Amino acid sequence: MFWTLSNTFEEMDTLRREMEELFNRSQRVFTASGRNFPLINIYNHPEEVRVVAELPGVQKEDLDISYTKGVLKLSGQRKAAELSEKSVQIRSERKTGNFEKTVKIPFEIDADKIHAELKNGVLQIGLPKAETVRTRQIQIQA
Amino acid sequence: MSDTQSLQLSEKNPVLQATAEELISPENAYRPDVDIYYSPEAYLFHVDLPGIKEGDIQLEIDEKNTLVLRAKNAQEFSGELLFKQVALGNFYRAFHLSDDIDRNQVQARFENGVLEIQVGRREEIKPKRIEIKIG
Repeated sequence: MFWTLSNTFEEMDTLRREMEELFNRSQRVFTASGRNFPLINIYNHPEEVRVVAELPGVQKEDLDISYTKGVLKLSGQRKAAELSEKSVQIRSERKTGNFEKTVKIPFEIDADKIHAELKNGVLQIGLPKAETVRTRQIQIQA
Repeated sequence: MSDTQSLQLSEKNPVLQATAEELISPENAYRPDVDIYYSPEAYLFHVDLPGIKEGDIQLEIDEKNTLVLRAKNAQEFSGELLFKQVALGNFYRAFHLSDDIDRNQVQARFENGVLEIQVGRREEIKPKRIEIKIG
């Protein structure tokens, strides 16, 4: 039987989906630390991995970001509103208090170059990949 | 529902979540998390809207005293998405407010991705302590 082009693409797509599933499963193990705060997205770029985390109402000084052995940790505190004694809370959906979330980063990272920005309640962390794992364009010799 | 029942209900719950019918927005929408407080002076709402631009938030109190919030998370990110929890798109929430609100005392501010809405209550309806003399 010939190994047709369309077959190859199907195989690649299946492989890609399986890889994604595997990755999602590994994240689930790491992110299933009780309360789901903050919510995150992870994006892959040729040069770096970017983690986007929703942290509405969290102040910069109440947030701690660390990276050890392939695991990014976000921890901190979301403070409850300070209101007068006469106030009565009648609906509570926003989680307050301490939070911790760990994310496994599936690439080797240049830890010294990790950068983060907190704006409008959204934290964006850039984790530059180590030189050794970056995708390289290969020049073809004439 | 009798008038007495409805009165009791409105006394217990000065802010009611809008009914299912009203909760269905024109488009599919996410539900942002909301905290609500009330004091003799005002109702206070805190809504989580991280990453949303102030210009993409619409807020109104309609003629039936329903507070309606519409917002759109239009953030754009590049790269290959590996893991997804953040909701992008439309957000919608609506609450029935009680009749004692003061429409001239409504304020909102947006800071660190949290929207704070304050709706004042009218003087004359605020509960007052009264001495009752017997005899």
